[in-house]
Amino acid sequence: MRWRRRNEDLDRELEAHLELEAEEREESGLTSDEARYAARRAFGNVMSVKEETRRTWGWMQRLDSIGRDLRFALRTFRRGTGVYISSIVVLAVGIGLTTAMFSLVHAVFLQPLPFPNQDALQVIWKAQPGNERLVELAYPELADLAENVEAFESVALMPTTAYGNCRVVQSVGLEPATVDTAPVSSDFFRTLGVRPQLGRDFPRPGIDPEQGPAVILSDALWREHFGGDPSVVGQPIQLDGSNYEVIGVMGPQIDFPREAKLWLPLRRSANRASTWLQAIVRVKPGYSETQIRTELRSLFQRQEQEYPQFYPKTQLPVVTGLPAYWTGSTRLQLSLSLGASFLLLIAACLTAANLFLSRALARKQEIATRTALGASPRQIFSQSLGRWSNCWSSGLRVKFRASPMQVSGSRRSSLPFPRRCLRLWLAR
Amino acid sequence: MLVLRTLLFGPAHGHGIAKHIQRTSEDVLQVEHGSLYPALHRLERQGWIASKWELAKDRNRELKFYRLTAAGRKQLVAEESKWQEVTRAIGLVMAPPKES
Repeated sequence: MRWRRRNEDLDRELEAHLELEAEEREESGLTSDEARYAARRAFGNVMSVKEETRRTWGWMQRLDSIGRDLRFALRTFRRGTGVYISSIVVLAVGIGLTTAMFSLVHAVFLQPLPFPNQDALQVIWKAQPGNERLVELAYPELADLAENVEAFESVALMPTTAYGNCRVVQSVGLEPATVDTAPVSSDFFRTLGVRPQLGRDFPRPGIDPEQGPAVILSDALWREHFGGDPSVVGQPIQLDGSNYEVIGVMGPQIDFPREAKLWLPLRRSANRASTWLQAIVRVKPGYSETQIRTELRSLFQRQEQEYPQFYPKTQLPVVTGLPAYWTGSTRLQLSLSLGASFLLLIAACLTAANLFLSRALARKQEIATRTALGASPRQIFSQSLGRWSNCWSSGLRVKFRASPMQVSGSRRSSLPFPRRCLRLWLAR
Repeated sequence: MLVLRTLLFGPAHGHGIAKHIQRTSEDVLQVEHGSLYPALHRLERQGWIASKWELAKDRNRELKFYRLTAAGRKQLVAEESKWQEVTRAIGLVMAPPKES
């Protein structure tokens, strides 16, 4: 390393200076020992001169001296392990909890679903006035919504949950498996704005050529059950005994509705009494929520007029943005939990600081000696900092060896960026 | 400034510079030799002097010699004029009161 050569160079230069000075003093009559001693005295503190000179070399060298302090701190770890171990534990708990909380919040809030432009996606239900209960939609309302509401760019229907929609999947050469499925309308993925990673999407009625019953697999099912084999596209498959064809595989992380492992076409029906679906719509840009509600209200009024036997009472539209729908009412609770874990982290840091403070007080004599030898306050401080950040990094490592928390939403989110940098730098 | 001036007469090593300043100032300026080296390295970093390990003939050993660069020469002139200004200003303040 270049700086090592620089250091050696400096040592050589200073050594030469001292020798010259000693020679001169010898010539003026002192013994060689006295001469050396006098030369050193005339020079000043050699170590601090070296430090001072190194400082003029610039930023990188300073960083390296911090590295040296850290390594020194590691070596003195052995003595007085009690304080270190307890502070590591405390910090590990604080960091671990905060990180887990943050990953949870991150997975739930900040990146709920991998659909582009999620703010334009809304979930539509109905509600009766005065009645808390939400009412689902029936298949014929797909046409109602698609044709009569200006604000919607595209409309799709989906079941409210994949639970209760399980089917047995059978395929040639593979064990039968029971999976949760989701029957959806043909425009489902187009509304969401995603395309299959393999194969193609459901055909649009009237636009794409008609074909037999088709199925789109989820990425998870494709990898686990079908082994990630790309030739699965086009293969026949049976769901509860009925024949289907696999036409595509959806991209990874698309888990909508939750736990749905495959999507099949919704069976067309004219039965307005069979209400078990919700609508998911993509709103055209520029339409406000009030406009959407007004349009839906007038649509519902028309429904009540045309089909009084199905829609007797006044219906109110329930429009929920997709991100809010996905995370539910947990926003407040999660924020509070995150706040609480930050407080815990602060408490952990304070405790660790207290432990170190008590230790530092016990080390007053050592610090006094160091100062007498020429250490500047900054150097002593950075050595203590080295000790402290060793504990911090050990605390981080302990957290990772402990079992990782399973974040619901089946997505393992990555560590917040600054912590990762700190960890990498300290470990070098 | 003193270092740059010393080097104006030719390249020298650290010890030599210290001795020269001491001698020329008639022992008034007794600088701690150690503080010379950070200064030398700082000047080198700013490009006003350049260093090289050479064999010193009279001492028969290798020493690190410093010499003035062109930029250093310019810097010396600039600093010298600033110094003259300051000295003159101090002189004006400290001047004996004028005879009325």
